[in-house]
Amino acid sequence: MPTAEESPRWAGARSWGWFLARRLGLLILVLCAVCVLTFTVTRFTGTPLYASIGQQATPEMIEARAEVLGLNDPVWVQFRTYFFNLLRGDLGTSRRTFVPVAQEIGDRLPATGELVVLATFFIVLWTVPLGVRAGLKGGGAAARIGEGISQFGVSVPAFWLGLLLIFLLVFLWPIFPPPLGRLSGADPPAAVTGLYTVDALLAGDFGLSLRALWHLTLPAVTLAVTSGPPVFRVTRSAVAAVASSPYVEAARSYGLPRRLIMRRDIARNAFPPVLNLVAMTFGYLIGGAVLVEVVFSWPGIGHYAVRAMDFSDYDAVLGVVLVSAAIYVFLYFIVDLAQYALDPRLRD
Amino acid sequence: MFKKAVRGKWAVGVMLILALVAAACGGDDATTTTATPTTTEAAPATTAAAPATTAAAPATTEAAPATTAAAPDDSARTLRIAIPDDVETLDPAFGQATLTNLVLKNIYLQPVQYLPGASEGGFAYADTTSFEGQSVESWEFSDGGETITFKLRQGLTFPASGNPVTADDFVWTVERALGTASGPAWVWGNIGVTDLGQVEKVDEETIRITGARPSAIVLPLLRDQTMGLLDSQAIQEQITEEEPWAKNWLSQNYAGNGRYVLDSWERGSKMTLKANPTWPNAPYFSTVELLVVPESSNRLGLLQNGDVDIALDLSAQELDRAEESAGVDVLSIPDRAAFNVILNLRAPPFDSLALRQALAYASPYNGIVEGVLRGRAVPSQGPMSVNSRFFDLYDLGDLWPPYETDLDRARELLAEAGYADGFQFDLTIPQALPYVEASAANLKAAYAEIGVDMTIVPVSAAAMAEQLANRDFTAVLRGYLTDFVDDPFYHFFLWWGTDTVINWTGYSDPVVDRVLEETGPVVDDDARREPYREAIGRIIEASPMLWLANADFSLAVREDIGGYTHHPDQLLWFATLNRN
Repeated sequence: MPTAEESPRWAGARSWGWFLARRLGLLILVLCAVCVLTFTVTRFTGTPLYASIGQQATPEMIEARAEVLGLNDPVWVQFRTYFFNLLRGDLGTSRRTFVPVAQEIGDRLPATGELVVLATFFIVLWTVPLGVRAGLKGGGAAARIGEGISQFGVSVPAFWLGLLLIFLLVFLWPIFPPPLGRLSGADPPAAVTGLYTVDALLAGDFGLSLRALWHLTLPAVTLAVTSGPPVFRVTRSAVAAVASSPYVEAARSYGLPRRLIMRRDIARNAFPPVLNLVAMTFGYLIGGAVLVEVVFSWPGIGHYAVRAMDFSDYDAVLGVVLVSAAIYVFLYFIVDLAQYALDPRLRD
Repeated sequence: MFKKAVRGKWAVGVMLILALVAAACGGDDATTTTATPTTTEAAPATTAAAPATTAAAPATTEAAPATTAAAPDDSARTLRIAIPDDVETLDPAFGQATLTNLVLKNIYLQPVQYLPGASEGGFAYADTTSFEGQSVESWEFSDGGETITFKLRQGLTFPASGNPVTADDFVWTVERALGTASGPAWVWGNIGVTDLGQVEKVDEETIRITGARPSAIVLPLLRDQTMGLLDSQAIQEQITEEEPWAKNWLSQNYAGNGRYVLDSWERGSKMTLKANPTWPNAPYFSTVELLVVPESSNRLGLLQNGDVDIALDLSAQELDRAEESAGVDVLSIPDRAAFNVILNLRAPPFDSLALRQALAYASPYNGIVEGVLRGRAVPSQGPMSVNSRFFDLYDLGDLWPPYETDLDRARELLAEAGYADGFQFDLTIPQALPYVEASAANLKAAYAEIGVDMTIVPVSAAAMAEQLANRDFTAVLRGYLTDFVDDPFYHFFLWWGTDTVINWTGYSDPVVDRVLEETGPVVDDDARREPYREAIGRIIEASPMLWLANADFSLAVREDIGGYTHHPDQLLWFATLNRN
């Protein structure tokens, strides 16, 4: 609360400062906790030593490899080394491929990012209009269509829907390109951002960008159908709750235009939980799109993480978990900032 | 309201049913043209010739097939292969996964490779008694096999750097193998080379190895995919204090000169190889594209659609569907892949011979061979595969009546072992390997018939490797295991000598150890016949494994793909392939 001698501007800045400090502190704390927890769990679930050296290894070869991989050090020394390397931005080296983990994740993250961004766009595209219509008009066509897609989306596993779409729209009616990753039958554009659609545009090749977008469409639709239902339902219930609130009833009784009520009263009050859920879904998909990545041969970090886990490739697993967690908490941070800015009650 | 809701759900239900029906029809190709699966009953060549101890430089025999007047276009000269996973490393010393080994074999030059045998039924077996030089032009054994003199193939360069291939590259490749204590160090160790002092550069094209250990497997070991020749100059430029062998650099940079060379690599998606322009005879395919397609049903769909020429790692059911598809052939090649339950003899309950034999008589061999593996296998008859060159050569089929399912006999043996009321044990299996899971389920049901409660424990690849290395398991069904060399000495020094490298069972028999020691330096097949017959008979009787099946090697290809040569290591060799 501002003191008597404080100007409102100074009080606002101080409030923002405290808010940012608290959120950033929490963000760092969460990442540290994730780091410690994942490090501990990976050490307890197996060692990459034997899988990395193969079955035909003498005890001397095993000992030499353990030394090279840094596995002979006590666990706390391994953690200390990992943690200090992490502070320098070094995510370690894969014990299976000997490639720096940051490079391997850097190669794959744009593929996942591009897919998740489009999937989230599709989620918003179908859930928000249908959810709003369903919320405003309880049993209309929009509600039935939305509920139908929702029930279908939560009933079918993502990998199964992906396989079905591939069968129907690639092999039976060849509308979409074969499931050969991000771009089949063409060389990828020169890497700038790593996002093929963007890099192709930067290279002035609009056709290639469209082609990359076409490759993205089926996996993104698969994710949008199977991950969108919660967003649809939250949108519908939030809009319905706000639309039946006394202040909206009052606004209607005053004869205010419907668009104005929608924009000023309903949207502003119903959308914060929707925004929250969309952000949460985006964060979840960064690491959770693994089955769709497998089905569409998409070279993303989910598939990479699963392979790393199978081989107890410590640094690779830790790297993926940390990057996913960082994206997740960063998104939450942004959403928190947006809500803090929009909702004056939070600043009181 | 209720009716509307019900109608809505009904509509969704119809959509789902339609979708399921469509998916279920997915296996059938639109046309019903019968495929011409080139299954073959041909056994491997059974020539008894012992490996030659002196060899002249064999002629390179993998020239491209004669081309007709019109040269095929680029797409016809491009071989597209759908593979289930990405290559893990470009360093031949550190490859582990089968796919990685496959690529390493083709993009690096090993000292020798097998010559193809006679083609029959759409493919040829490699002739495991005949070799051709790859990085070396000739080799000569002297001093009773303890000295090997190699002459390097002349005129070769490393395409990536342009550096010429020299004797220094050969010596440094061995030095790096020993220095990194990696896969090729094990191979060189079995040839008898454990110290760099044994490897001498005589002149720019000659290398002499002294103190080698004579055996029948020296040349077969020299063809191992880990033995690829390295561009020592290019790699040494990358060496740092932290990286004395440039492992990190070589894991993602190419420094070889195989029959194919790396052109590009989109990690996780695609690897493109080009025929080595510096090799004298160009192979038929100028380009090989390896496309990562993790989902096996997609690999099948792409093959059926003609988007790829070869689909690797299809399940037995998918191979059946491939056979029924127009334009697709399935090569089902009788092979030595062993599908065994490995028992740990070091501790109860499997320290009991009667108990092991009880399970051997209770195992559902036909259910696994015909049901799970869909007839793409035959029941096994012991440690040496029925499809090994040595099975017929040594008449191993008459050593011991093969174990067949006989529950009464199994119950008798169970009672004899003191477990008349049954017992419980864990069977460790790898995660997400459907044919292993299905086989384990068959075993569990069969053992339940005699009162044995088997718990199936799926584990990760890392946990499986750790358990086997530490011998910390009760029983393991690991999946197909294939010796990379078809030779009894190779098999015995891996599996059956006391404390040999993968003697996971803990089997120990002084007679077998003696046979292993005495036959090691013997290269004549006839001279090894009786000792190995004795040793194999003893192992079958002791039943340290449950020998379930010897599986075919099955490869689904477009029908215009020919020239496949099957190597004992099962690693696809691109140089002989062609398009009809």
